[in-house]
Amino acid sequence: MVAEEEESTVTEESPSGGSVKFAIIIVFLGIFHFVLKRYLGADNELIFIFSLVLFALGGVALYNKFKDDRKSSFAVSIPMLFFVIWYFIFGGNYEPSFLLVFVPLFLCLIFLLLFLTHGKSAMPELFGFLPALFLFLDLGFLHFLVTDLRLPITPLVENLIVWTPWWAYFGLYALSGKVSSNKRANSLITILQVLGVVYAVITLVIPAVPDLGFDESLLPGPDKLQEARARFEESVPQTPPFFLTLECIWEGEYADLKGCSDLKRKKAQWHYICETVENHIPDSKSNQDCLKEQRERDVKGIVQTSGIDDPTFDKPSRIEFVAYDYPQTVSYGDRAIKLPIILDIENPRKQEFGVEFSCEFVKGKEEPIEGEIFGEKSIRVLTETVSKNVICQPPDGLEGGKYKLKFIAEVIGFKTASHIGRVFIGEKDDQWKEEWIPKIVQLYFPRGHYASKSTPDPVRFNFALGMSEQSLSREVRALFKDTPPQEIPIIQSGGELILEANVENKGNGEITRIAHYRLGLEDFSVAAECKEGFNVPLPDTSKRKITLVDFCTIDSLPLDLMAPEEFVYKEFVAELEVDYKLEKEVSVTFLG
Amino acid sequence: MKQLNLVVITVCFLLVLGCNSDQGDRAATHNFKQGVGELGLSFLANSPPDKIYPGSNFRMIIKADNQAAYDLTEGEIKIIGLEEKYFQLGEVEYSFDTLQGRSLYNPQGEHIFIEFSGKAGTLFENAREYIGNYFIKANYISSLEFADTICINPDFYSVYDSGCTVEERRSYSGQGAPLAIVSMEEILYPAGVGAEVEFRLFLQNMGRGTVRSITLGKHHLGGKELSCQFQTDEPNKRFIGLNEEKQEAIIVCKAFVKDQNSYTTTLAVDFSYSYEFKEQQQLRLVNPNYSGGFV
Repeated sequence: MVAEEEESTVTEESPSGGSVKFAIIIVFLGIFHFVLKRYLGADNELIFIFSLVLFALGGVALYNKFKDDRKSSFAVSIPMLFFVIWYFIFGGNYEPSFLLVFVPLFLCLIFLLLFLTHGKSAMPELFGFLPALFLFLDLGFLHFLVTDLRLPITPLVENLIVWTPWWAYFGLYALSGKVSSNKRANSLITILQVLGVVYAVITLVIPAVPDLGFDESLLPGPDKLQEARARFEESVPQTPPFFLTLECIWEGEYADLKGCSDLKRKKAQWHYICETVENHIPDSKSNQDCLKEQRERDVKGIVQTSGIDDPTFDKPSRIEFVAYDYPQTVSYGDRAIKLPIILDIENPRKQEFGVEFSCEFVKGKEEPIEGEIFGEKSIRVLTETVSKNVICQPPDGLEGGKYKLKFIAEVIGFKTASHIGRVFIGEKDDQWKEEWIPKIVQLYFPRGHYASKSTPDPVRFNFALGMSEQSLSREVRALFKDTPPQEIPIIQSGGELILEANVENKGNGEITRIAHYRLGLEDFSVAAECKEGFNVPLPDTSKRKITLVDFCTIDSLPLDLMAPEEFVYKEFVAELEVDYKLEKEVSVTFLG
Repeated sequence: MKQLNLVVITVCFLLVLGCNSDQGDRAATHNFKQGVGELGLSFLANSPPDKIYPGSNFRMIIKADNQAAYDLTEGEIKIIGLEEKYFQLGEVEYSFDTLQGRSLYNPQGEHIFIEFSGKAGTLFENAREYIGNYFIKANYISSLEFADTICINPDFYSVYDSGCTVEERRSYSGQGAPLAIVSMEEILYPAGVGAEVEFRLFLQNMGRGTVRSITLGKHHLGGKELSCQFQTDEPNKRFIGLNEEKQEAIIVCKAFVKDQNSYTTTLAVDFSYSYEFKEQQQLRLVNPNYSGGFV
């Protein structure tokens, strides 16, 4: 008896039984239809017939649902029939003049049935819309939106329409409620319904979320620079303006509250650019120089071109000393002690360069005393990672006292490169410029950064190429309001071109030699020293940026860039080779 | 069993309605010159491939499909703005004389496949990848035919007229081209023994691109020629140039009618226009040896 009770009490003859069986059939056929559609294509005749079969099955499932009242259950077919007539005979005509006749006719029939069945046909009629709706979604909705209504649908909506197994969903949600007394069957149906929701989420939501296993997400790729730049461009201060004003009041700056809060806001922006966009370590010398440069840029309008790390390189190059923890006090007898340090090198592009080691002991303000490097005094780096133990031995006869032991690594022949894109438009009229330039900028420079992109190294070669301020046209200037002229990426013929390049020290070391630089402007008519230089004298190594090319003018463009029919997008590469010195100090006290 | 029969009958019924086996009959009754149709450009699958490797050859195959109800002439399709250092194409331009539109004899419209072959260069310093942005630009000349049956009632003072009723304003959903006449106004003025009828036709770009210029063609009311001109400052009133911001035009046609009673007749105006559209596209050059793993 108990066992019998546990069996499903749903039979084909019972009112809901037939509906459930048809709904289950529709779920599985709907999944099969969806899979087949992917292989054969939506336009395939077999797929079309399959859709019609599912449509008919959907109608029958709903008919069974309302089987108790035959008159009412017949009403399920009315919306289906009208849809078929509208879509297949009248070609889905949505002309107002046609709809003014068709819709009232349909409504008349609906209301007539309602009247004849005393309102009992209401639910069947409503349900009758469902197979019609799903057939429309399956067959022609996307086409209708795009071609007929000309709506600019987003990829998200397109995903929804193309990748949803509509008939499977129809069957699944037609199985609402407790369809069987068999708990396992009900559980299975619930699981399938949950999976259906999960599928919808994956199809719809995940493409909109960056970095969730997609290379091509619907939103722009979330590289750090883009996020940082986007936030910077929104000019969101680190502190809300209300609190900036309160700070100024607290500091007693009553006389010029606006000026004070503006300055605080700008300072927050300078810190943001230097520490987040350009990746300088807070409190480092390079960061201090960067802040100073930003201040000069804002306050005095002095602008040296800048650059960014190319986001298509994931791993930066890095060379740094890592100190051991060893006793800082050494007794007399241990003068022969060897004092080590590690030099860590990350060389993801497997460049080839040399490193020479030395060390010295400095006591107070006395002259440094050279120590001796134990083992290899120089190495040749060829691999991706190097972790080198550098050992310094104090010289014989070193007096007792407190010393600064300085480890020095001189990197010889370190190479870095950068590239920049520019758009050459020739001579174009105002209408062309107004129409094309915004599109060109949006396509080639979507993040609003027009200067060079370099390999992520401790030393960066920044360069910029653009028209001089006097040569800029009104339209171009209006589009790039706050951009220095050499950084504006649109170049017309007939004006003066300027070129600027500098070397930026991003690390904690010191550039000791600029061995060679080259700007890839072979076909441009410009002074030779503007394009290439060897053993450039270093003017002032304390500055973060060293100017190599100081606003050279370019006399003429290559022929192929002078008068393009539309425009030419061209990239230029610059290469730099430097020697770079790193130092690390540790304190050592010699007793005796 | 009964239900299965019902399903089978329903499917057969739907097949009779839905299947398009006799395209000729259906095409014979279908008016192609309605709605909006234009040149569609799409890439064939894997042409170009999603990922292109340095030093490899690749092909870009574009399907140009004319879904307008008119032929396209003097057409040009160009690839603009690819950096040659990374993607070098042999040809960047393709021209065609005529691409037939949808008609009784060609219900699907004519389509052609255009192939651009190229070779990929090397990545900057063996970077992870390079995204090559570019535009595809298409421009062509096509035509537009407008015809409608209108009512003219020159008798302003009659209380009852057993003839037709003048519709002062009508809307249209297009004539099977990207340029469309979206509405028309009919205005009648008494003029001596007859009346002057004025038709104001409102043209608008309904497509994805830009109408560059429109030239007036033939224009008739019944069997007689109308006097038509664009509302423009240009000296030649049969021609109007448009820009991206202004994609509409108004043409005014006038005629003098002597009849006293209302009557229906056909207003027919045709145009030729030049059209352009551009799309942004990308090619992706990928480093197969990137140490970050598969890309």
